[in-house]
Amino acid sequence: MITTVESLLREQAPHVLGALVRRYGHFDLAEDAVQEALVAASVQWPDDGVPANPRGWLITVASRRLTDQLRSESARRRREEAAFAQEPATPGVAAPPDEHAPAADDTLTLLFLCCHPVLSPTSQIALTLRAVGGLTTAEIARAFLVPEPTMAQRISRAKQRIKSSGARFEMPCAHERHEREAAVLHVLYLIFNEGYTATSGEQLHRNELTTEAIRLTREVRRQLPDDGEAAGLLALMLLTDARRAARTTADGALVPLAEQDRSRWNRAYIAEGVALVTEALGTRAVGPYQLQAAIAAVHDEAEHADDTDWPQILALYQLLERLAPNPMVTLNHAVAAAMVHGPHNGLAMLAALDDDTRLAEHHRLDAVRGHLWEMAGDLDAAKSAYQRAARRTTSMPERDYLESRARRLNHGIQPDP
Amino acid sequence: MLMVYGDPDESTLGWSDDHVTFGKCLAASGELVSCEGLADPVNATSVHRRPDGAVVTGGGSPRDTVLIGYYLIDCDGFERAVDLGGRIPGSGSSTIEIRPVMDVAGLEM
Repeated sequence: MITTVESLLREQAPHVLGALVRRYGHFDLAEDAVQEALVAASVQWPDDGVPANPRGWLITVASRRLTDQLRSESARRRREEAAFAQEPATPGVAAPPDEHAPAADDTLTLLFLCCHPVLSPTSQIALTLRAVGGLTTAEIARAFLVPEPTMAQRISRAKQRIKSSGARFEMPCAHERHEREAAVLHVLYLIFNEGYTATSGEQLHRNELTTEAIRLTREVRRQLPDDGEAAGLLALMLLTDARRAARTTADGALVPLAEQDRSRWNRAYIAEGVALVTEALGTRAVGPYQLQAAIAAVHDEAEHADDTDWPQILALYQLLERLAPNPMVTLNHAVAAAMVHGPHNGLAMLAALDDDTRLAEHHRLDAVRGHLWEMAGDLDAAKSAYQRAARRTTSMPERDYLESRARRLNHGIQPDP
Repeated sequence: MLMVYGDPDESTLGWSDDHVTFGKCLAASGELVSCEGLADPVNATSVHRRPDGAVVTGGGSPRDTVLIGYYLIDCDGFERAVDLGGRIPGSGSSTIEIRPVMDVAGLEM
């Protein structure tokens, strides 16, 4: 679990880094210096107490590390080389401290830099968690189940890439602003999903990613109050994470939505998510995150699975399909159509996906087909669809679930009506 | 997982310095989880489990191709894995098989 000091440090991390970069430039070195200051604080504060001005303390310690580094011989060489490759962010080494710049904007500016399009998605995620989230390399490595040196290399490569691309610590200009905001939201969405798929207690480190994604998205939403998609993404995360306790059994087996114990859903998250998405849909330009959140809200508001307002969900999927068509949307759209108009209607929609190379070999197509054949009463077809899906998935809990569905049909247990 | 297979009759079978160098490149790009080269199959030992306990039955079983070594990587998607597979040294004469690793996480369906 995250301690108070840890969460305080994570909150401060982007502000400290922002202050340093504004003052000295050198994003890559400043980022290292902030990490060192955070580590120093995590060791000292629990014993010595939190200083009266934690941010000031961190900025002072990180600045000292950074200036030491900049003064050292090797750093001077690096600086000279860098001077050829890119203009420094501020003229000279130590421009006058810009104390009046709004500190709250630093988080957003940093997110834009860490989610820069020159970086691959895995690099964007790693760098965002370290530079904006204030997580240590070891924590990020644990969450992504890779060795620490792998993660350290990934982060250092990402920083090199930013440096050589000439990307700067500044707000993107108006004409690329929209695209860059979408990139930031997408990275936060990926971080959330990475954590949400965790299914067992051993994977608590991954659960931490959902918490972190929600925290950062909250911050983005605070700074972009007019962006309906930021609100939509936050709502989607809350409405999805609300089901976390009910989505797996104690031993890590997956529980499908229809069979979840709804009394274990997080009511506070549902209320907040519903309020967010309702407000966004009523006042802002509609977008895919808002629609997905609205769909999640309809599920979450049903007292029992049987009370689910499927016609409403179907209408939302029709909108989503028009706005952001992709095969996964079609797949879910087919499920909704089956719930409203019967399984054969859904199966007919799935037929269109057979030719889609993005999904034709995907296990979810067969998994959904299995459910729909089961609904239609063709148990042999259902069984073989589940078995095909079980062979194709690369997730152990998903495979176990699909095999258990297939076995259930084997033993002649009748499906739920 | 990128698995490197070779022809058992080829004399130059095995993990080379080029393979080691390629592993270092993957480590530098932050994509390597682990990699190992395997000793020649003449060193193989097979173990079979019987109801009364494990029985060691001498060398490896004869195959058309043998595993020379592997790279376990964590990268941005299938296309990147194929791209890296195509760059493994000696992959002209050897075969690279790419298989996803099972994940302990999953989504409800």
